[in-house]
Amino acid sequence: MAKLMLLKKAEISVPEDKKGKQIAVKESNITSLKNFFVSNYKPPVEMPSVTTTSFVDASPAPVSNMESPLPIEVSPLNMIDPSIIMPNNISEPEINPMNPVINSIVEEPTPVIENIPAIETPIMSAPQPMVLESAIVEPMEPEMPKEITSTPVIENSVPDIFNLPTPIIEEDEEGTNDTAEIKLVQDNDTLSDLTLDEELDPELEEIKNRLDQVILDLNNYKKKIKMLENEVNQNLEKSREVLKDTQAAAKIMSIHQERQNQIMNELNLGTNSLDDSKRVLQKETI
Amino acid sequence: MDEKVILVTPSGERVEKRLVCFFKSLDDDRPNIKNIPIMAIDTGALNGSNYVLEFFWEQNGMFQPINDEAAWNEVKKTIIDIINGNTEVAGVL
Repeated sequence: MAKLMLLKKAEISVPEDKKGKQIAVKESNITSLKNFFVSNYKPPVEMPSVTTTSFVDASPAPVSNMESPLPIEVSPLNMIDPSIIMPNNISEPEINPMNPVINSIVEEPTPVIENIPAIETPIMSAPQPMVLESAIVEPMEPEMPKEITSTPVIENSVPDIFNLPTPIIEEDEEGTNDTAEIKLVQDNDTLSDLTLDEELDPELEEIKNRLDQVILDLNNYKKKIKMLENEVNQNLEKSREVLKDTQAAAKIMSIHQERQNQIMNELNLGTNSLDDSKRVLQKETI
Repeated sequence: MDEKVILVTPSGERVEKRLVCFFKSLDDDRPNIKNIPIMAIDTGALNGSNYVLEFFWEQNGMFQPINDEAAWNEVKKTIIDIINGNTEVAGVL
């Protein structure tokens, strides 16, 4: 059993001109991977009120009692309620320290967030330091100090700043070269049927081939049995017809025999009568 | 609901991607990827009827293509393990 540690980050630094290795998988397998990833998130331990309300309240009404225009103290990412959702209709996704919405985070917590399932944005509850504005969280440097210059990156919010230029991580044009196929032999969810073309070891491949051959043989036997059944049925039907014909012929023969007997009787009677007539004629002649 | 991750290039360009899985292996029998963060991204592309996943691993503080065949094979084995449910989650970072 593979032992894994799940990771959560909102931003990842990547090189500009390189593309990753790729594989192609069935939709059900992607779902399995996503479910595995999401379902193993642990719910955040704390939900400090400092951040629980922030962007749910979409009202742009400025708050007059802003205390400081300087960077707001923000807890690490794992202290942020992952269920924070920034409505898409927020007109100013870029939040600066002067933005009253930020101020309202501290000043005006609202209970709306309580109804939102915490699992919705688990990636944002990572323990890495939170980075606001365009600052980048460099991987493997969790102690990086927090910078608060603009928009906090919040899962599901997808503010306009993310609709930025062309993706740097291009999809593999060659596609198939580095692509291994993960597919289900049968289109169901039984993962025992999973095969990965590049990963099947020869023994498994041999077993699979044998199974295929056995299945093929079974199908052939089924076909032969079916053919034999049909043949037997046809012969049975013919036998029944012959039997019917034989019975009919026997009946006809019986009628003919009876008629023949009648004729013979009549003939005997005629013969006897003729004999009698001959005797009478001989007597008269004498 | 899809998990999202922002990919940021050295020049500051950012692009949002659908995150499928983000993990590191703790297995001793996968030495080439042990304790190395690995990220699977749904490219949104199709290969036939299958969906194309793209993988990166962290090297020198940056997520890069997995250019090591041994490591790449171990990644694929790990993905199969996850799909088959043959995994134990030691924790979340």
